[in-house]
Amino acid sequence: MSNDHDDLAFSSIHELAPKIKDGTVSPVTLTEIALDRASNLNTALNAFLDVWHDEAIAAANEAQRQIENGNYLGPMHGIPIGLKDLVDVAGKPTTGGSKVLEANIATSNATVTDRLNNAGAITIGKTHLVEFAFGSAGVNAYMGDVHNPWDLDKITGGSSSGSGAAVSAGLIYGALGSDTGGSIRMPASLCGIAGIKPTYGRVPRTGVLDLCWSCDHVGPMTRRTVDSAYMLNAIAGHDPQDFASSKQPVPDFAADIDKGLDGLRIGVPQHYFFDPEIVDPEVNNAVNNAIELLANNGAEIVSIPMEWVGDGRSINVIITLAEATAVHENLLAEHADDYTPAVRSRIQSALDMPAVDYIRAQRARQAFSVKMAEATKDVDVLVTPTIPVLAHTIEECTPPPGEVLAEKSHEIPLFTSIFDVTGEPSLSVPCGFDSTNMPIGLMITGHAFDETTVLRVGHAYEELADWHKQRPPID
Amino acid sequence: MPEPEELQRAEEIIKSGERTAIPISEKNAQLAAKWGDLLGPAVDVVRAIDYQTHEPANVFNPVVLDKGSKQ
Repeated sequence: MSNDHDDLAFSSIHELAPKIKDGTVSPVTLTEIALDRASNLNTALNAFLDVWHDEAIAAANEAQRQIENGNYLGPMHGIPIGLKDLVDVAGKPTTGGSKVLEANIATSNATVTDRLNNAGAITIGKTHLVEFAFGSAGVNAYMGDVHNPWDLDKITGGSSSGSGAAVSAGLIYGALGSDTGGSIRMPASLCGIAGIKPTYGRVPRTGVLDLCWSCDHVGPMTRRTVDSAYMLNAIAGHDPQDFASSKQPVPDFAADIDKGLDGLRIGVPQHYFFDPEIVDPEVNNAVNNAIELLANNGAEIVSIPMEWVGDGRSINVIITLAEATAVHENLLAEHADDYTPAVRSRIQSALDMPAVDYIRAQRARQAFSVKMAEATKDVDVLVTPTIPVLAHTIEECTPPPGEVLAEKSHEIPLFTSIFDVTGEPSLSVPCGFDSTNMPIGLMITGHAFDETTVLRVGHAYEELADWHKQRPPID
Repeated sequence: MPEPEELQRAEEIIKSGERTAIPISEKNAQLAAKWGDLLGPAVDVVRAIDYQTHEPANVFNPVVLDKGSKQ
């Protein structure tokens, strides 16, 4: 592949959109590059479960015609993307990364699929995931593991593992992920890209497989933060078919993205997120450097005591397990042996959890969310590490035969899951590399329905630090 | 060989499965019991949280998104 094509493959949506609009770059060319890269690199990465060559080329030709006729739809028009394989596309399988649903053909589009189609995006296929999105490492014993483009022996993080790998390796420009305990932000962090979990209810989940009704979020994963803003513009907004969908007004998430850091107050928790007993020193160092850069460029840093904040992880564990057991009740009854032992046993482990413990967790969640709102009321965002540990190997995160628990992987969602409990918008952006050249992520979390400020801080940091210009050593 | 605690928990899971009409085999229950190390401490943490003045969140309004936040 030529250098020109490589440069196009790793361009941002922000760079490409004006060129697509004025005809300098063709959606057909971009789609051919995406399909070529998927064809050449998917054997190594296992990022895609399904690639739709002919449909993608046809959609790109249609986009090209629309644009030539003066019907340019906006920044997503003509942009090749992928959908995590728990998002329905009519006539295509939605497997949830599981043998259980191998024969499940969607009869209609998810709301987010329709919205991305309406924005002119070109979906080239379905990205891989942890079985039923229930896992943080990115391993999948039955459907195969996804490999990290920065080191093929390392995990991508999960559960949106294929979306993370495909975007990071320049196969596509954006992908949808879902996040119940961190499944957008963990692979974003480990694959060195941006990924935002929007506020709970901001993006409809109609036509997306459930894991945990009260914690599931759908959101974009891209190489640049501004690109996530464009994708979020396309998919956000009320959907009467989703009972939890918010009616809050939807702003233009990219409108304020260039406003910089002046006047912003950035909270840094004193507890848990920087505890040396939890956080690897290399992660601590990278995140503290990022905070210093933010402080030196206009942000005011405010230290916030949060002795209680680690409790959020336990709340997330109980709610997710209890709801996942209910979500999978019928499938488990008919297909228990088709689940991987790790996911089946995890779901079934909540069978003897008393209902009162689930209700306690939902009450504790309210108490926790009130505390979080009170603690953060005088700041615009919180910044923390996304993941406390460095990237493990796939082997370290694979349960040994006869076991369901891997040696590593339980520390991975310790931080991200806190904000699935509060439902607040939370973004991961790259903030450096460890001594083995694996990416480290900075997590930026804001107030409910204030994705705009979260994205603004993420974009400002990217512009200052330039980590997004690094490319993974795969080709 | 499973630990005695795991075996006891596996029996409880089997009984709960029967009670809730979600049957589970003995072998699978023993695997499920292995997650007790994650679930047990989480239950203890939540029981210790002062939540008495709060109603439960639910799937339609899971969190206090418009109370107390900056917006």
